[in-house]
Amino acid sequence: MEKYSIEVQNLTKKFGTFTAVDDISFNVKEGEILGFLGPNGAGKTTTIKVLCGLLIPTKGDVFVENYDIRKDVEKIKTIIGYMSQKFSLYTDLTVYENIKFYAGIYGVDREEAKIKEIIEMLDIEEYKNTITAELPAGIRQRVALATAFIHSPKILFLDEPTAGVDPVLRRKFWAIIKKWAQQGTTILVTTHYMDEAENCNRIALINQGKLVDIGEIDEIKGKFIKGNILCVELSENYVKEFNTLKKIEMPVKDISLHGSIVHIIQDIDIEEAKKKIKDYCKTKEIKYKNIFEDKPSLEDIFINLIRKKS
Amino acid sequence: MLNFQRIYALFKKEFVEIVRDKRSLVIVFIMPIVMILIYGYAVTFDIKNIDIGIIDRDNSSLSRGYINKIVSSGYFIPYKDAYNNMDENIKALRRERIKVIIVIPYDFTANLKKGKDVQIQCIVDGSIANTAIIGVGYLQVLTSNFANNIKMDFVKSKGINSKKFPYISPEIRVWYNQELRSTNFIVPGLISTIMMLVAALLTSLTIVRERENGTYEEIMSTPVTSAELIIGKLTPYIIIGLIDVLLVTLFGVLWFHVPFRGNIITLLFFSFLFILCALGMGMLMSSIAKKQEEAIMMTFFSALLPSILLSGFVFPVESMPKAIQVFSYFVPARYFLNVLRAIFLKQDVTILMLYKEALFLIAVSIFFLVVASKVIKKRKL
Repeated sequence: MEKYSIEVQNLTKKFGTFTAVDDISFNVKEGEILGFLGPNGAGKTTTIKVLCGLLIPTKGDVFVENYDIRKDVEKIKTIIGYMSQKFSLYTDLTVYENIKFYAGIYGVDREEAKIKEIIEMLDIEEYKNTITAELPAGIRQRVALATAFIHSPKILFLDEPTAGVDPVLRRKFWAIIKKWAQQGTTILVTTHYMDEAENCNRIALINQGKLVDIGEIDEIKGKFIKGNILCVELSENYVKEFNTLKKIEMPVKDISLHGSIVHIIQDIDIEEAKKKIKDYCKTKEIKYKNIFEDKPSLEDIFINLIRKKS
Repeated sequence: MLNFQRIYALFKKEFVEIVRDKRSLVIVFIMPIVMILIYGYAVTFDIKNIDIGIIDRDNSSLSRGYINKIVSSGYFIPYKDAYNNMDENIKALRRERIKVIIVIPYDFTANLKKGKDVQIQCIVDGSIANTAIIGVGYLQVLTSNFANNIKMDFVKSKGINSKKFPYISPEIRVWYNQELRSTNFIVPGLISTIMMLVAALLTSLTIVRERENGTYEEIMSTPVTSAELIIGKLTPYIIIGLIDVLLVTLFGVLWFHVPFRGNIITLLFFSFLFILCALGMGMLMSSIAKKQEEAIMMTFFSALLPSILLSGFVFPVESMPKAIQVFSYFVPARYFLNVLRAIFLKQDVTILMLYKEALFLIAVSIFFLVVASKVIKKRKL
């Protein structure tokens, strides 16, 4: 039998009459990276807060490393790390002081060695004695990560850990997360950067408090998008041209704009569809740079999902 | 069980934050000094040099003797520009140039000679009630003194040995504050106000600030318990509070020459209890309020104002309406003020003698700290 780090059964969390999390069940395996995907207000953060023991569930059961969240929340708190949305740090303290504070709170053994190790691992040595208020977001994020991981928790909860951080640093960040997962840390991460979700072993799609689906990325892609995706790369006037392209007469399942690239999801033969689109563009004088086939991305799934709901 | 390592981590962090935060430093060290200077100089309940308008319609040696008595007392300064001019005096009263007008009637000497009663008219500006009441009091004493002298002279003139004539006069001895200097009781009162301000205000900010920064959420996801959080966060403020007590006491004694007759251990013991109360109140505000501004306002109205207005610092508790007196039992400053005045002005005051005050302060601080810890526990976020 597989060992689960987190078991959630029929979890519901209400705030007054508002149901933030509605009857969610899922398990997370040890050493797995599970991505929580969903629009703002879908209930991702609320779910994480319940799992961290910050909120008490209204209904349902939650077990973290086999501890019951209602009975052993204090024990759970010693084996988890939590990084909240805002990279919350003590802004008057230096990087080192922030990390040392959490080391003290968690009662970390060989404190100084551990602090040194994590500072090196996250490559923030040059900022060690800088007051945190003066740091750019990317560095603050890594310091926040250091404070959440200083006690080598079994489970790490990351709530939108990369919001506002530039792509290069985001990649670095994920490299570290993946390394920790390989070493056995279970990671539960929320994001609304679709490209980031590709780093997860499994993803859970959440919308309006409900768990829409959970599984491996390819599996979910196959389930949600039947057909193929044709991408049309447009030139400068892409918004206007996209609106014209929308009126094309062919059985389109979904059409959406991603930057200057239009994703068209449809069923008919690829070559035939390509020809149709090319002809249409010619008659409507749409200037395109390129037409190519692509695998559906999570973003396609996501847009598809939201459309279906509304 | 409390984990002292966690408490120590919290303590150290909080301390560094206070020291690095300029606003906190101003509240801790500058504000007490400024307050004691302002209060020490400006707020004086001693009333001297009351401007008085005089209308002497009699203009005799006797009436001049009476006026002389009043003026030479040192409490009144005659307004000479309007001497004997009723209209000008009334104008002056209206313009707040003078506070009192006395009118000596035409028949002052004549009636006295005949042995008849005489009335002096005394018009007082009641818009500043405190000055008016004290001024009238002085006038009454001076007048009855003057009247007594006349009686004694009369008795003597009749050839009766004045020593046989019964004459009762109080011989007043003031204990503890011989000169009745108001700075001597303002400075102790100020200590309680400053303590309340520093302790309650600073702590009222500590948890809200963490909530605003989002660090509170992170702290709550760690194994720290609410008791550890409170102890760890409060200890730095207790130390700062005690330093402030010593600072203000030193300033009062050296600068304003307020006597300090009790002992420093008693002072520190009670200051510790009072600071606990103030911190408990601040902590409670902090755990209820959502924003720092809200916490400041709440602390101001529920902790600071009562400790100035209802503690007996400005208005004696005995002269308050009964309902408010009952309310004042719940104001810790009321007890601390008693203790402070006793420690400063009376000798040989021990902790045991003030056990009632001590018990009350302990009860109040436990009450606030327990409620605060319950609120923190319940309101996780």
